[in-house]
Amino acid sequence: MLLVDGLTKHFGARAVLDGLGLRVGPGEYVAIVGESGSGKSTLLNLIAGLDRPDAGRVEVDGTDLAALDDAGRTLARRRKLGFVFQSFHILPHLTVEQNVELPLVLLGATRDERAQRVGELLGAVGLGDRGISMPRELSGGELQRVAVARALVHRPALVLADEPTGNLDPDTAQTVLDLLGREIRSRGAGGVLVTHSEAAARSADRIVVLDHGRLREHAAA
Amino acid sequence: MWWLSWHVLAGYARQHRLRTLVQVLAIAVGVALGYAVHLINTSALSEFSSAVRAVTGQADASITATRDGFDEQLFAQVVAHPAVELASPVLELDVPVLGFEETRAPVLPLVGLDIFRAAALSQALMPVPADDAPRFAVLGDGVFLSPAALDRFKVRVGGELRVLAGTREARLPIVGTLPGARAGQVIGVMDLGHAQWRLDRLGKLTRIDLKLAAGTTVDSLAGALQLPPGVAITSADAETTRVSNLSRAYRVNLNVLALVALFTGGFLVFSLQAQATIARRSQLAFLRVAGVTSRELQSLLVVEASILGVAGSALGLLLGAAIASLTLNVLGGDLGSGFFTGTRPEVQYTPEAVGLFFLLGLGAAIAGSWVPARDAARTSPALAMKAGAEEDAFKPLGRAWPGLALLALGAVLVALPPVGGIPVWGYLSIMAVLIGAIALQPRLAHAVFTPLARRIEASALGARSPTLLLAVTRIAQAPSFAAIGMAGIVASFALMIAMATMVSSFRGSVDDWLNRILPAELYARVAQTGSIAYFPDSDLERLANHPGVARADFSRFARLQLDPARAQVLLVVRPYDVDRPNAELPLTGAAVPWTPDMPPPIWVTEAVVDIYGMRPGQTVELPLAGRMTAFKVVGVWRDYARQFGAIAMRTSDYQAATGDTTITDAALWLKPGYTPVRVAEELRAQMAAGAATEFVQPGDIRKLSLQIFDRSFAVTYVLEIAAIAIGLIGIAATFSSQAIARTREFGMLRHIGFTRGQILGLLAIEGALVTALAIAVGLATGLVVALVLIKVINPQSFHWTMDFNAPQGLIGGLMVALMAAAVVTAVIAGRRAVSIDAVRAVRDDW
Repeated sequence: MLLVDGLTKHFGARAVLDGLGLRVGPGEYVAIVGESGSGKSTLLNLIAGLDRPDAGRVEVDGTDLAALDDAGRTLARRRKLGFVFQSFHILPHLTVEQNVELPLVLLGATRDERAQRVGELLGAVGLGDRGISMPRELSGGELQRVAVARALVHRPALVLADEPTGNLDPDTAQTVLDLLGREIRSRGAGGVLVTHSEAAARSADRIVVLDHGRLREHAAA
Repeated sequence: MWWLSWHVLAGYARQHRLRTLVQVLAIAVGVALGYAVHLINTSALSEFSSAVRAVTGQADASITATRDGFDEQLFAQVVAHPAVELASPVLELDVPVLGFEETRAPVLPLVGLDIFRAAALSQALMPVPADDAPRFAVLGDGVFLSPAALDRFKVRVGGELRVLAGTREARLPIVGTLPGARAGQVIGVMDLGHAQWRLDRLGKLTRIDLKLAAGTTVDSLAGALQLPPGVAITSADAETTRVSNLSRAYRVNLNVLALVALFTGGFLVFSLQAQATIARRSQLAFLRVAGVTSRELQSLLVVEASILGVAGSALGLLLGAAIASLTLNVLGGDLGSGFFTGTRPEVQYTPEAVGLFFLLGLGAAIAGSWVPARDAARTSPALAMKAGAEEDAFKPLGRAWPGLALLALGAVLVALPPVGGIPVWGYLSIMAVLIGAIALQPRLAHAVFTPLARRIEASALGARSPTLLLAVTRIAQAPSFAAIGMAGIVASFALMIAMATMVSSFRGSVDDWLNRILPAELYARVAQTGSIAYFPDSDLERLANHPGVARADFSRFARLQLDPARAQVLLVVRPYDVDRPNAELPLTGAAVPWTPDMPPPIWVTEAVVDIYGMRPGQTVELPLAGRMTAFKVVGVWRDYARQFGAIAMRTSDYQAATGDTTITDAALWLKPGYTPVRVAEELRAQMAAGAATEFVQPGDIRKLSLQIFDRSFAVTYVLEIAAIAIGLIGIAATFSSQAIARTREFGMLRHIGFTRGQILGLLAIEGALVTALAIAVGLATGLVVALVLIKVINPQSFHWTMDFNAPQGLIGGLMVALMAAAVVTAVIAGRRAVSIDAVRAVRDDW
């Protein structure tokens, strides 16, 4: 699902990532923890193809992102990746349904396919009756559940979650984490959760710590 | 992509209706003005061509001269030539009509025709006798009038028309009408022989219309005929082409001015699109993360602007057609230029023009959106999704070299000569200067506000007024963000200043010029320039010997056809003093010394120098009374009345060359104790041509001239006001969208203890500072553009120069008004933003 090998990234003279390696299999949910400034977001950007490494390889579902140009990486993201962000990034002018179906629209799915998948995912995240609501009518936890549905709707190979509970209260955060883990596992996708919260990390199958540009195993969740 | 366009982008447009509406209107107003001016000019030109066609009919070519005409012997030579299948002799005269209370006798264009010959060529002018007219009325001494002429002179068929022929009155019976004349065309037709006899033009013709034998061209016939000087053969289309050429510079100028509004609209689109992409920065970045490629994103944003452009263009075309239709119905085809006076045209729609102006509007919208779309597409999505990344937007705009390069390009272009009489490079230079100045705005903002922020921070003022410190620091740190909002203001204010300065310089120069050329206290003229009337000798004696007249200078005006493809040049004949020409002619440079052994002296206008290349010191030949006579050009004078040139000549030299001693004008200096009104009344009562004589005082001429000046610039003022309105709407929309984009920032400030009043104060200070910079840049740019208009565009278009004169009061008032408008709209826009709950405001995503 995800294979990261020898990943190196410098900012100036400072090596943020130094020959980092990581493997995530189908249905596996891995949490990456580390202190602020340890390079978690840089790693996530490289895995997502939003940035290019100085050295190393990022392979998602058999595709080496580092070997592609910007348009190629964008198309790879479109097909193979799903995202959940700390600040939700739900488009405010679209309804909940429209936000969730956006990845399917980009992939050219038919209207019926979209309606069926959106209904299925919204039901799975407990928002089956909120499809035509506008984002401003939803709470933070509900918005993040919309984001989870959107991240999974197009059956991505890998879901990347960047501090998905950073803006939520502990109870809501736990609900969202449980939902995210359950949906990733049940759909056979790989999952990478980046967080500085030990509590959030415990919802994953495996925890790795980013320290001085390298990953080391922490403990099983 | 249509799903994204409709739901993601149109959703934003629906949410921000004011912004969308302003952008559509900015394009619509520009397109409407451009299209309306184009329609009016094209329709007027087309109508004029039709009117010319109605007179010349189906002729292939015409032999023409000035209204002084040529000897009818030429007709015998022409009609006998084998290349001529049919020839129709014509006498065209401008006949003063008597019996009106108007200060100046109205003039009837009268055409004398050989009816039988003309029947084959000029059907539109075929006279139709009244039922009760004499049997051979078409061959009699009666006149046939068009319906518009009957209406104009308040006469009817069966009555009579009193006209002035030379120095005496003639009464012409009205025996029928001209049903083929065009609507609104004032014209009369008479039998040629009777016209020559009754109107004192025996043996004279002014035109011969020709139908050429198959295989003959106008050029070959011109070579075969021995035409006297001042007489030329021209093709049937030449007159239309000539009028088109005459008015071309004026029409192009007006079209360019109209497009200025579209140009400003394009900047407004840029300004608002740029802010819209900043406000949606994280949303657009999310689309990139979700799999929309940078090319797709750029296309989406350009499509968004294109939809605005399509809407604006469509609305603009409808508005333009309505404005043109209304203007033509109310004012006729003449927008104040005097080129198309007397025509009443119908609006002429062509698919080409619709397509052109539609594309211009669409192009302005796309051009305005290009930079914001490219910036959004090129921005790293990872960076753009971070809160606060908005400040990094449009960083490339902070580069100085594009602006400096454009200014340098403007300086190069301004030095290039006109293309076909049109100052194409001058217009492009103005565009380069404007875009260059706007491109430098972020750099200037950084250069001005960074040191200012440091000073305020270091001084006690920074501690006392955190609002001021915050405002200045923000502009200094994010100059592109501040400056893009001002693009529309810089463009509209610069053009406002340029137009106001150009008009003020022009008006001031015209005023000075009128003072110079009107030294006497009373002027008398018999009918209109170019008409067939002149003062009898007895009247000249009365004018000179009136007890109230200290000095009388007599003059006459004639016309010279120096080039058949160009307008006639006016010949001003007066007793000029060759040693003191400056007394009556506003010379632009030193006069060339003249001695009696040289050819007689003439003084030419700037237009004659530009068009015919006559320069001081040269000896030139002029066609006078059918032969070429040599003259020495001894000076150049400024003349705002005749765009196509005038030549001043001493009366003695004119009379020696032509034998024509007729006088049409008199300038009178009065003795103390006599008023112009009294002298005019007494002379009018005594003179034989008193009824047809117009007496005017210099003050009246000046007032009338300035009225005509203001009327001819009325369209310019309207276009200027439109540009100002777009600029002001732009300020409101700019501040509104900036305030909305900063809702989160204001929420944060409220959290840390800023009061709502302080935030409004912050917005007011930012608005004032940025607008002050925009005004300064706009003022400097506007004055440079004014210089280009005054020193390049006007001399190249109209062949006249003027003295630079910036209207300081008006400019000061505009600056204050713009500043006040900016501060007020900034605060009003900010009230909405700060009214949002502080907690909600700091939430992400909206």
